[in-house]
Amino acid sequence: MDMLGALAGGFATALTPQNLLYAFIGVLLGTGVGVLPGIGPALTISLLLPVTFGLDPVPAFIMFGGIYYGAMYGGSTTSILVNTPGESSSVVTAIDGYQMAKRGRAGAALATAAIGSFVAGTIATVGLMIGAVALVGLAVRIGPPEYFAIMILALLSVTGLSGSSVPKALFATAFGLALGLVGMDNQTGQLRMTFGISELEDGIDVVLGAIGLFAVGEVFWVASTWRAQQDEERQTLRGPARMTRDEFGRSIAPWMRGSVIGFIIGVLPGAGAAISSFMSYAVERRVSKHPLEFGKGAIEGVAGPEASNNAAAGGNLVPLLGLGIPGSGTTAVMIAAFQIYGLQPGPLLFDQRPDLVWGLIASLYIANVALLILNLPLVGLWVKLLDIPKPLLYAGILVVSAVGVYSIDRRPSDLAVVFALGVLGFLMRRYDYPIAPLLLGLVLGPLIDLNFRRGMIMTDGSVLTLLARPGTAAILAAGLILVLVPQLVRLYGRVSGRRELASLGEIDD
Amino acid sequence: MTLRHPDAIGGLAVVALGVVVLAGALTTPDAQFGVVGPAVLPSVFGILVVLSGLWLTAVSLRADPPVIEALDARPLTLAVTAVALYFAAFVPLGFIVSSVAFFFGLSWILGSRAVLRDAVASVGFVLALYVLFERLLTVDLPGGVLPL
Repeated sequence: MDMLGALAGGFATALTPQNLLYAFIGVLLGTGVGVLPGIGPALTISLLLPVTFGLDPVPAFIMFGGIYYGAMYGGSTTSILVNTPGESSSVVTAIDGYQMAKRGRAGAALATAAIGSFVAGTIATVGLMIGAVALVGLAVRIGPPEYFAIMILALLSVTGLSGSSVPKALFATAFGLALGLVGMDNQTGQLRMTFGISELEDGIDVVLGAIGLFAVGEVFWVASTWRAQQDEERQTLRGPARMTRDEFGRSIAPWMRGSVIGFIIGVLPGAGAAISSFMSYAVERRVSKHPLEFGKGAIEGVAGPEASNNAAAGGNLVPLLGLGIPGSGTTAVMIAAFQIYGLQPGPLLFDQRPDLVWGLIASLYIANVALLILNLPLVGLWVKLLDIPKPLLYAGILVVSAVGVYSIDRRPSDLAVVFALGVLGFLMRRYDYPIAPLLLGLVLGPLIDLNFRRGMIMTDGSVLTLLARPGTAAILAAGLILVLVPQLVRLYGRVSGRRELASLGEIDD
Repeated sequence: MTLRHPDAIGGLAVVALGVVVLAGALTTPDAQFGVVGPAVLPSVFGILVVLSGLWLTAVSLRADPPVIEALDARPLTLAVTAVALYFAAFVPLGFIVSSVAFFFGLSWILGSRAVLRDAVASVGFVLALYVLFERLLTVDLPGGVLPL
């Protein structure tokens, strides 16, 4: 079979000793940075981007596979041992994981998270391979209007799912899109929204967005809430990270269910790992024989969500690799990684650089195995990272951020942009505006602009003809459903007093 | 009906941002090329930003103000100043000098008082990064005042 042959080729690329080493380094770095409190996967990848600058594309992407899965996994350690999870996709893990740690079962919670991530990562990578190839097959038959519609769908769903306040999410999305269009228009060469500042002519790189909004914004936020941050509860890990036979048995079904839920949600543009882990938690509590244990340290409440957020990470890569459209803040940053090498993910890349695409997919399998091999023995090391004093940690993050920003184009003005975005990120965080849609908009802005204008040429300038194409109409209808259903579920939850429904998806990536 | 509500003020700030976007969009020269000009989507996004701000203000005037944690103004002001100075000095002073000073300074601002440890950590961390990026990864960092 064609796909298996291509995958074998990918493994042949990835399994050279040198590339294998890069995969392992990627996993180590991704997990290590991902473990640090307050650093989510999108920021982890942004901070580690410069590490790959000196490499050729193939080893760089193999390393990226490791960084990506490592970053996704890293948050679980923090949420189990510290009651304040660093990123939203680990919030759910913290509920029962932290309770388990308090009962002295931190080792079991870490083990179920690690093995669950492995199971989920493997299932999701198989799904990714099949899904991305299927999308590539589909992609040759769709044109700019459909691409435009899919991106609108991604934005609609990220806006609709990302927070309780629709106007705030709308602002984040629209402003992100506008920022994405700053700079030279690549179709006419006109300068847009640069206000005469020549440094803005090349536009605003998504890495600047991620580092400004997440790293600098986070440090300002930490500084502003300093007194409240001092009292942090931490649990220690006693003994090895291992489960009892009973705990293992109770974890298997949640791993499987979590993987399937996570992958499906992950494929949908706009719905990220956070939502899938919430859904998995809700499902586990519903099907559990001992629902009262949930919230007090049920291992299913760790196994399911951890599996699902890793599976969602694999699912997120389907629209990215298959269509070149990022569906989450984290994959938006991944696009930046491709762009640095002058590559655009999508159907063409499968044709032009099969070695790279299949090497990346193969390296995801390898990263998964590496995670399993490294993480359980190294869990003591990850825990030590939590001992770094917070002030030094944040100082270090900002120094690495400055290096990362400067190394993109060696342009001091980029640091000014990052500073401004940091202030914006701080204000948005303080007043509860979702940040992920802004980052996604930043990446999708130029792509939407390009496909909309190309589509309008096809339809001779008629918006109605554009929207009435069968494919476009169907995709946009699906988008409306995606946005409206959670709102209706929330409304139903509020009316019927079911809090877990009322708060569905009130969280952002 | 007052504007004490943070979201009402935020909404007005959003409207202002939207006006800036619109101003940028509408001053884009139209290239008379293709069916849709370069200024069209920026204008649409600018209008959406303005509308979201108006919507937010309207909604918040009818809602109770949310509970927002008290702001620690001093460390925040100091941290913002430190980052601004660091970014401004990054190239003129060079990576090593500016980063060591910033690392130490921000640690102090964020409440660390182990002066000796922080000094050692800042120098060690910055030098390690320098070796990693400049020597191993061939990323060219600004040398600044040091003869590197």
